[in-house]
Amino acid sequence: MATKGLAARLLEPTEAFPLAIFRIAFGVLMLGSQLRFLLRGWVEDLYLTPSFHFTYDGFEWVQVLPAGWMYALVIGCAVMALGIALGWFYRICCVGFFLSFTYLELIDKAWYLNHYYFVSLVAFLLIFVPAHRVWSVDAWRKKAAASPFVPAWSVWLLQFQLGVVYFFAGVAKIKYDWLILGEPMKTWLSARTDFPLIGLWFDEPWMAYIFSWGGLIYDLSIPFFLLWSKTRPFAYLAVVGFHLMTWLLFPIGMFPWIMMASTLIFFTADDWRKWGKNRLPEKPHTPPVFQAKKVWGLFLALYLGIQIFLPLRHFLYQGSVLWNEKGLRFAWHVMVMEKNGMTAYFLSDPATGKNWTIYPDAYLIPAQERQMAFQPDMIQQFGRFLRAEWKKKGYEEVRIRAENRVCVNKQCRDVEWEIE
Amino acid sequence: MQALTSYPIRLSLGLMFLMLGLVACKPDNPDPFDRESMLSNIGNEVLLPVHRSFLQQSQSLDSLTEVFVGNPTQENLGLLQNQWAFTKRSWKRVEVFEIRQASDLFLHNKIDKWETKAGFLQDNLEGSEALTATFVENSGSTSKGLPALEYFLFVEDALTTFTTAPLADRRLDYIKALTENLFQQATALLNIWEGDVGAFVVETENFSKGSLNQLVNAQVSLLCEILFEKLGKPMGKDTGGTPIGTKAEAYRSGVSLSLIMENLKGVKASFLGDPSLPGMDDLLDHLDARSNNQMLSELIIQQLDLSIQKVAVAPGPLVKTVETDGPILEDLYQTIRTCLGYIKVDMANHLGILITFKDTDGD
Repeated sequence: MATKGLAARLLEPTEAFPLAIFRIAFGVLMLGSQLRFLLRGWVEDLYLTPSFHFTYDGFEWVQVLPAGWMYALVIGCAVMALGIALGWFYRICCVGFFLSFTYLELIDKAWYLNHYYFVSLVAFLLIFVPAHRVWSVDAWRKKAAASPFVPAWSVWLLQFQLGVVYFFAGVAKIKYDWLILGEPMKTWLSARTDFPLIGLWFDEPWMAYIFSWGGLIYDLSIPFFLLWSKTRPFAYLAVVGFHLMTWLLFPIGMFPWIMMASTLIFFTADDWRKWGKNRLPEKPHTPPVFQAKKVWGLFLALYLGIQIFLPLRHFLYQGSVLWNEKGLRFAWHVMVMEKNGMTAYFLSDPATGKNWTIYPDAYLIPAQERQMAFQPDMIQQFGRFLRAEWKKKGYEEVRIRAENRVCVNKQCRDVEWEIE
Repeated sequence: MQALTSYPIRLSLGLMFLMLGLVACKPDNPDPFDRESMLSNIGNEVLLPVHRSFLQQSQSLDSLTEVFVGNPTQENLGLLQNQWAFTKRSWKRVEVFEIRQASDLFLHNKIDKWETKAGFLQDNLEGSEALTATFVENSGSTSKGLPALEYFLFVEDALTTFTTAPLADRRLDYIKALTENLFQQATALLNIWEGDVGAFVVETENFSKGSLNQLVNAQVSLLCEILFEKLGKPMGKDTGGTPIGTKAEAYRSGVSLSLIMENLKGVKASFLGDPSLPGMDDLLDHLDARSNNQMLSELIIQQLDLSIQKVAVAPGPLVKTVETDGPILEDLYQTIRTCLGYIKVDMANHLGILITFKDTDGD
């Protein structure tokens, strides 16, 4: 009975235009994001310049394309984002945007960002979510696609995704460093004493604790306050305040804007109508009856399960996730550490007695080197790359050891790695 | 009135008053570390003086070149060679400050880009174009500056090449043109910094264009260059252990190790500034930065001093001793590597500094 009730609620008709607002905001931001990528020369810098890329396990086939194709991919991605915003060939644009954006992200682990992952997930969900029923070129051109209603699941799914980001970003902060040491906030704030008005106190430990604990409480609670109609306007004010603050304090690019735009999905048609007065469409009558096949419910359950499992999977591994980084990606570990490293590789060939000391700097661009220098899987991956390179030079059985100095939130260690 | 009593407005007003209250209060520690004073110390007490000193040395080099060109004797050649070494050492104190406009305008490359392209220099020498400072200005970085001068001044039987050998006159013209151009570059560099040091001092923010961020990156970059290029390559670190002495910087003049020493002293000076004034060591102490149960500032200074001591006693010239004194050089190499680790990893971690100038989009 409970399942039936849930299914009925998921299929309940709800007004479509809040979803359209989300679609337009997301599309416009993604268009801006891709144009920014092009204008800053990042296609050249991040993809075409490096001679080596840290591919993801299982996605080694995702490689940098020839320069012309790489530019075409990013421009295509921008065009698809525009298509999403306009609701023009909406489904095709969602598929195209998801594939092109995700392809770009999968080329190199060094460029992994939580908010890029979030963008890929939202793009994937939009493929299935009918966000083009109103305020879209598709609805204008083909009346069949137009409808003032969408099933409730299409809004809930996006709200769930937002909730997962915040909630698990909060869970990721329940750590000794964050709560007891006030790190990395102490480090980051003390570097920003030039900040207007309150920067004067950024050297004070209590300020770091206010930010740390405040951030934790914010992350864990904000999805629920956004869901509750009585607290929603204040929660959104908090979202804007919080993300504006992070934007002013830290170099985190598009992330604050993406979150401020995405959380609009929590506002209902009635909320919008309260503020929009006569400018918004009147409440429509005669809602349709939505239906869905069981397989769709299974797919939904599977997606939700994966989204809950991935951020928690690091608990399956021994040791601190901040150090071993097992289960750190795709898990909303947002801004939980200040981490730096330096790695040197020592190669020896028993057959000839030759020894080499190799620094990744010779092969990588500085931004890649910075990332790989403290991420254990990338240290191993680069070591395997060196082995392959030396094999090409005729050294079949070269032994490789890496020495790595790494600091996490002011704790520093020397670590030795045997390259597998 | 209705609008004023609505809850969001009241909340906003409340937050505003709270903010004003915070601003009105004085913090517990009324004296947070003054980064501007630290940058002023580094900028005015180290950065400008080393650039001025280099300009003086370049001027002396140009004057002694003029003397030598007018009277090419063994004694004058000896004086000129010595002055070249002084100038080069003086430059090594400047090298750590390859940041801001000095970096954007590639001025460091115009002064000391090694290794020089001997083939280009030889072609120019054998060519027919007038060898003037303007000609040098229009040449590429690998055929001008201190390394190009070294190529001519420290060749075997150098005096003969300037007196009786074919093209001796053009060789004299060339070194005069090179020193004149060097002096012009040194003047331009000092002028830039005299105009830019004020901005260097006030840009205290921690983003990629912030002065502290740029300076730490420059320190790291120079220590990496010492390790990878100036020591590692001649020691054969990337050739399977086969030393190649001619990979050392300034191997012709045999001053490679002393240049490394000046580089290290330059890094130390950029870290401390005038020790009686606030420097990066004081900033680290203010943050109570510790590593290996010791104050990080002390660790860095100790490791830099140890590196300087070891390079001072390392046998030279490096071009030869890489073949004969491997273990001593290996010890020096490891000491500098540890020092690099403290600055690149520990210090950057404590200061929250992004190692790399690349703009990021990160979270």
